Amino acid sequence: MTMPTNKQYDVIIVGAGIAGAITAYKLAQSGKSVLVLEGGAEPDPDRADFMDRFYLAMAKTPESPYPNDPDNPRPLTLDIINWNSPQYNGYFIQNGPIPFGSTYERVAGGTTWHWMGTSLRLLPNDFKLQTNYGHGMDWPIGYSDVEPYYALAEEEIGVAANVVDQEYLGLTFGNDPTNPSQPYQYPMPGIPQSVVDTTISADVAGMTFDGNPVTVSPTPQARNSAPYDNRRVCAGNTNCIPICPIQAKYDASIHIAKAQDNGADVWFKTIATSVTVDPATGLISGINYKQYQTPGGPSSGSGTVSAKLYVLAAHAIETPKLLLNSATNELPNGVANRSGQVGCNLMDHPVQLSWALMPQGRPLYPFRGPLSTSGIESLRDGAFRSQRAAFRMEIGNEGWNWANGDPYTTVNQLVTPGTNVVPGLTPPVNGGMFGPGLVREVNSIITRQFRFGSLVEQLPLATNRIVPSKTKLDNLGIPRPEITYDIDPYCRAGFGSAADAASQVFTRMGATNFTTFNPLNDIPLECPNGTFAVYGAGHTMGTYRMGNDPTTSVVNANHQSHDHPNLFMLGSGVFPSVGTANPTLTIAALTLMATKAMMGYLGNQ
Amino acid sequence: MADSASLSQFVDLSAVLTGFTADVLNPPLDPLEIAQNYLNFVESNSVPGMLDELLATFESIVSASGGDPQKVADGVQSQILSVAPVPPATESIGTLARRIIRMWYLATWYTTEPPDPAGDGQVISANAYTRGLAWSAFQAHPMGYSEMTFGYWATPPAPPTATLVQPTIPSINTQ
Repeated sequence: MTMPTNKQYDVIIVGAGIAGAITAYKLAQSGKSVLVLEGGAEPDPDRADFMDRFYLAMAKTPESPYPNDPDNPRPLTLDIINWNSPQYNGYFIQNGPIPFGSTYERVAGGTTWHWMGTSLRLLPNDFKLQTNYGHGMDWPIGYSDVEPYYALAEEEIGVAANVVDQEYLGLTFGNDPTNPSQPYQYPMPGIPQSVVDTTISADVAGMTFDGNPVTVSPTPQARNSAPYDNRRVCAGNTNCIPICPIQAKYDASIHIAKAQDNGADVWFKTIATSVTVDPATGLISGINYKQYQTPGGPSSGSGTVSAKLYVLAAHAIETPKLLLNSATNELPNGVANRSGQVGCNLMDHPVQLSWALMPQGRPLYPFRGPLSTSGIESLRDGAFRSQRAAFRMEIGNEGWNWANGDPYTTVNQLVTPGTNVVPGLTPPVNGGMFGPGLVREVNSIITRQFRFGSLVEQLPLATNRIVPSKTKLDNLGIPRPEITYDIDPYCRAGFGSAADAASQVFTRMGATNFTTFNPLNDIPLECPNGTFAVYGAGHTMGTYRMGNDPTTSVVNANHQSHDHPNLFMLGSGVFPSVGTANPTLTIAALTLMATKAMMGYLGNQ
Repeated sequence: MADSASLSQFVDLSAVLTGFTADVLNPPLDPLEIAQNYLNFVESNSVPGMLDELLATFESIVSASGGDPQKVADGVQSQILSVAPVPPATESIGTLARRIIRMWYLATWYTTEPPDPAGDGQVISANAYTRGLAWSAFQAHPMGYSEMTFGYWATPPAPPTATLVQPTIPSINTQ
């Protein structure tokens, strides 16, 4: 690829995911010259190749539509279970004791290619976990600081919701920041709830758990309920993860295109390898990169680029890896790491998956609509947070697809002779089921399937960390991430409570709980009330946290390095604590907040 | 490759095996030619001669049934699906019939019995994926392939149509 080498840039951004792409767009739009370094190839506006790869994949994992690229490797869901087997050959080097269970995409547009689209705001109390409940870390900013940026982010990416459904647990919406005389409204009306949602909602009416009400709320979603931003309305493909076939769901390729339209340069297949610092000024002086042309081929070149301002937006594994890989004699702990916190405090929302079958005659028709359209949000805050972690219960619209590999598993069980592994079935049929009986049985079972995926709050631990491997390199000779990870007792207590809550809901609904822990296929999590399977949420957070104290945090409330004033870092790596909201909307809101600070910095140069 | 006579036999057998009528499996105008492609796939991926044996057995069941669908179903159960492989063979017309059911339902070709969820299976084609019958059996659509419109998920689906769940009389050519 050709690229100008003599152009002077105001800003260099590493990573074209949601944070980097929105920043590139906003800064380019305001007249700044912007260069984005993106490891992945240029996204194909026609996603047919991705769809074909998805259709043909036996394991339709979050990564399945997107090609593997040894020059720009990524973690894979199927590798996680094998993390300590001799055959393991995954991207992460996992030290345990629990394997880090989340993955991410290293393609232009980042992990928004395979995100759910859930666009919840953090709760006011999520910003004050230490002050209010004595656990974890407070943020240096509060909900009221972020509230206007949430509104702007919801407009930027296109979120569908109704304010009246979202005013719970202290969430306020105020007035429209772009039209302050009017109360805020989401840019699109809410997405209709599924039959799964409304069935659960009706059945749990009046129920409480640990003294808190159990209430189903429609989920704010970054998918179109009306034509928006030149994109179509959702057709309910039930495939938000791994890919929306029609781009009714937001993904950051939208902002890459907008950034380019406003003059930003994007160098694809370009991987930042280290950051250099001018010892005299303490300012960042450049970014070293490697390039490749053919996936899996050798490096096709390398170089250094410089600008006034540097933005790292490579997500919570690659960003700290880059900083730590930039250690020199002058900065032996790596760049921006006076606190020693770079790479530490790695967090996720460990997922407790519970699944059940409704009684005969009460179908709720899963596998229809977006993958998730509602959740039980009323258990995300309460006095219990002094004792145990909070959680939100995402309601799945995909039956037992995640839980049991359905419809494949159940159909195969019904067809195979003599098997009767779904309890409650009619007696096994010699020779297996076939014909109309098979149709009826498939219908009867699968139309009654549903599941909860509870996202549990995790605490920051300095010992949960990612470092560049000293010995294991990728195809271009760049260190792979080496991860040490465990889940704290506070989170485990919340995790067990999530399983209890799901079980109580199932009982109330008359549904049969089929939640099982399979030692062969599942990662175990010991909790006070039993051992459960634990999954990653795909939410990678905490590894360059924000704070006011340069000795305990990496960036300030403006996302600016405490150590290097011309270095900003974006993404969920800045989260000091994680609450229970899926992080992407907060990433977008904080990005808009940080972009304002970047403009201030550039204006002062 | 298979001639039209064996396509017709294959579709009729598939209707009895899957519970979907022949005109659902092989519509008069099918730009994807799913049934023909499946027949070709089975011929290429089964023990030589076994598909012929399967279709011949089906033909004899139909001939002996006098056109009674229940007798056809009983015959398929007892003379096809109950036929286990004779060691050292690992395949029989019974295992082949079940592979054909799974192919129609899941667009996937499995070669172990029962399928090994960790390692077995091949998606036959992207087009096949979009035509998997399992999804319509539970009144939904293949994940990633919706032909519905915004908001359809807010109400229960239409009741299953007769062509999906009432194929008690497959379109068997008894002549």
